[in-house]
Amino acid sequence: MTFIKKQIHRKVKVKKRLSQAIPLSNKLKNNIDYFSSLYKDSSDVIFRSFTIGNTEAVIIYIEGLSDLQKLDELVLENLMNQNSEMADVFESLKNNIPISKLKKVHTYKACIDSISIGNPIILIDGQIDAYVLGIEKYETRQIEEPSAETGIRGPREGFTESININTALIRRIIKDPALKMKSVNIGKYTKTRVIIAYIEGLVDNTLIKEIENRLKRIKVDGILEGGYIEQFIEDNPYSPFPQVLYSERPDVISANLLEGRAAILIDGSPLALIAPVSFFSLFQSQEDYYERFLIGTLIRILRYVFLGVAIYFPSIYVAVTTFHQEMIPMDLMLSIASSREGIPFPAIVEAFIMELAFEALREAGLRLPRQIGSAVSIAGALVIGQAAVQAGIVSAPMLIVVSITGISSFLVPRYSIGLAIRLLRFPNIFIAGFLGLIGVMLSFIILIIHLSKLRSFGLPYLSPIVTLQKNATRDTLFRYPLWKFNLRPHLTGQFNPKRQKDNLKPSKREKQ
Amino acid sequence: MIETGRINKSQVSFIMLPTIIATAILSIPSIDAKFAGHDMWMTPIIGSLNGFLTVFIVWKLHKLYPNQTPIQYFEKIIGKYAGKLMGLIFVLFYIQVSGIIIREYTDFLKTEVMPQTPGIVLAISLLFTAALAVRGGLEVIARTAVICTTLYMSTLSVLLLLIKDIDLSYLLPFMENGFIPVLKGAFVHQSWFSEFFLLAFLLPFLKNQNGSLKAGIKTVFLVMVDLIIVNFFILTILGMTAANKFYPVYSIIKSISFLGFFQNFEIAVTASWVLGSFVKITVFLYAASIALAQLFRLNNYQIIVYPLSLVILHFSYWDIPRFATLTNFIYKVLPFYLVTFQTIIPLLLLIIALLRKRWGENFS
Repeated sequence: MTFIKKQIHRKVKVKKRLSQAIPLSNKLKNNIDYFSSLYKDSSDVIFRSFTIGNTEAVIIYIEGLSDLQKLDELVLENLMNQNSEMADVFESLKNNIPISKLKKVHTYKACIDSISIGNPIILIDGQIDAYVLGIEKYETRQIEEPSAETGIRGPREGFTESININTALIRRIIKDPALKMKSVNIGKYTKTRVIIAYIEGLVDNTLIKEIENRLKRIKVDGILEGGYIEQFIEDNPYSPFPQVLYSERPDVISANLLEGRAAILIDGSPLALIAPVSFFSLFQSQEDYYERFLIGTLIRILRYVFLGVAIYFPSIYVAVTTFHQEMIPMDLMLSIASSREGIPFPAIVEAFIMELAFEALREAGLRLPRQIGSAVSIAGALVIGQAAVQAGIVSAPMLIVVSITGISSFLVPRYSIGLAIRLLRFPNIFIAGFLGLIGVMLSFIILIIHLSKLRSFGLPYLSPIVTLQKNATRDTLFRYPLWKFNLRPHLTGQFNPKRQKDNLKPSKREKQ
Repeated sequence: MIETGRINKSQVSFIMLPTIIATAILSIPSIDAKFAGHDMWMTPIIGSLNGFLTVFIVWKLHKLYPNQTPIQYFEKIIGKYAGKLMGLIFVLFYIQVSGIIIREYTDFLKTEVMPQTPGIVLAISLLFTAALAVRGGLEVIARTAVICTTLYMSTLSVLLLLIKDIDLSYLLPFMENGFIPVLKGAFVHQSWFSEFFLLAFLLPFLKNQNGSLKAGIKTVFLVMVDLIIVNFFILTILGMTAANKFYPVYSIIKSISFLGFFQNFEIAVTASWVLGSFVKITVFLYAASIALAQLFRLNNYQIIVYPLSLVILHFSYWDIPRFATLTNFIYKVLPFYLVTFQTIIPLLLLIIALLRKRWGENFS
């Protein structure tokens, strides 16, 4: 028993020593011993020893993370050719090594941090400092067109997996120094760099504090994608609705920053998170603003209509054909009845079969390699398509209902809410099969109750519509002309409401 | 504070609108037609006078005892024990009235839409939904009400499709039997308008107290206009046969046929009427819950919502053996019952409170 206790005690001690900022030794040998025991069995960590004049030194770096050419030409060459003794080592390094990012650190922890992000360290005998060379370089993906958020009009740049490129893309749009980027490292093993971006003066500072607190709460092994962060910081984890938006477009992120929201960028993920969001911001696409406002408004209304279709069309069909046949005009009723003749299943079962088949097909096409994907869609089209109808398994109207539902769920510009819609369809079909339209209505009410309860970082999810703010419909149900957007959105932009000059309507000339 | 949520004045209008209309357009027109005959279109105008009075009483009481619900100020007005007793009576009153509303809802759906579904299933499903909203708090009720009321009121616009069918000659003869029949019809209406007393449970939780009287008056006016429109359409389309129908509104909507394709709207309108009933029962359930919680000094009302819903479910069947009993009750008892509790007693209490204030000032 005591032995185990001792072991645990020792482990805790070791852990403590690692995490604590213990200073480097001034004997090179001690330092090298420490690092080589730490990086034991790590074939990619390179220890390169050399001499500066008569002093022994060593460079530690990780293969593939640093720019070796610079290391050879700018650092090693200069240092190895140096003969004279150095009085002030840091000063002379600064003068001899032509690298802009150069700093000294005193602790083992800081050394490890630098090595692991690709900055080699130089340890010199007799020095209690280590010198960090800022020459990290690793292969990154090129900036490409954002594949998940394409558009006809608008910039073609999308974020990449490298956070430095992403912050640069935002900086290139918002040039004011008020754009701030606060950095946090999350993940015990991954030490993922997470940046909170916001515009000072536009954003409510309590929001930034809240985000920081929620991020600091996260104590996990690793952060692999923004989704990890999203699930740890959202307000209502049991809701199917996304309470944080994500985007891979720098222009979308910038637009949100300008409306007083905050963005969270995660190293290793081309998707940045936006908070807080409302239900209506999930129905906004960047092109609504780039195109003329009449078209933007029309498309927005279309989206809301088809949101209703995507969630309720199958359940209304089931309710009407099961309970309220009198609702359908006679001719239509006859054609539905004749096509349903000989179908063995009740409408609710039929709807479930077809919706499940559709979802399965969609999921199968998503995860498979592209070559097989096309085969799946051919097979699926045959199964869900004509064959099922001809075989008398499902009726043709049901097929039409399922296809229209499928198409309408693609109208929503944000994928994450599309997932929620897919999920909600099934309980609705179920309740429609038992309580008819009354059941559909009650499930609609329950959905509204749920949405009313949701908050995203304190912002009511259905605001500004349900809180009946003045001008609530300006940028939610409709898209007013840009010259009418004089105020930032309520609650997020409340901190600094004025967005632009009044009377920017093109025909109104300013009086001289 | 038992309720932490805060709502604004416009939300109050959205909450109160269906609270009066939802059952009013269902049950009253038939009774109205019986009493007022060709003059039934004007009964809501006279009935609404009581609405304005009730709103005024509530507002005055609210001014005297700000940030307090009736349960709290009853004790201040008539003393601790009498106040408690009065509070208890009000809680029971609201529980019973909620039961009656639920019964109206289920009976209507059962006879017209879902004849084979057991009424209790319909009752439970609506009560459960309402309980969910009430447990979410006043903010959730208000936000839900905004959407539900908007959709509910917008479906009333299908009445416009009936414009070609109206026959204005039904409006004549004007005041055939004098003013008394109109007053009789209006008496049923005014009892529904007395439900504006529920405002007393909402006003303490307003974000901004200014202009609450104006908002209340505006809501009464809107309700009045809606009821006039409904009565007008019923009268000009059905004429005197409206008196023989249980649900005249349902009958006229049934008769809509537009372009030969858009017909049989009644199910869709009924479905949207569920939204209105939901708001109505939610407000009653909320009032009953918060009143009961304050009566027994609980520090949250959420825990008693489900048990209370169960009690209300019992009340919706207790002593109402069949549909005819309910109709009879609505026709003969309810007008007096509602107005006694929601206008006359508050008025008496207001008078006592004002006298107390005056005497208190004189004594001090």
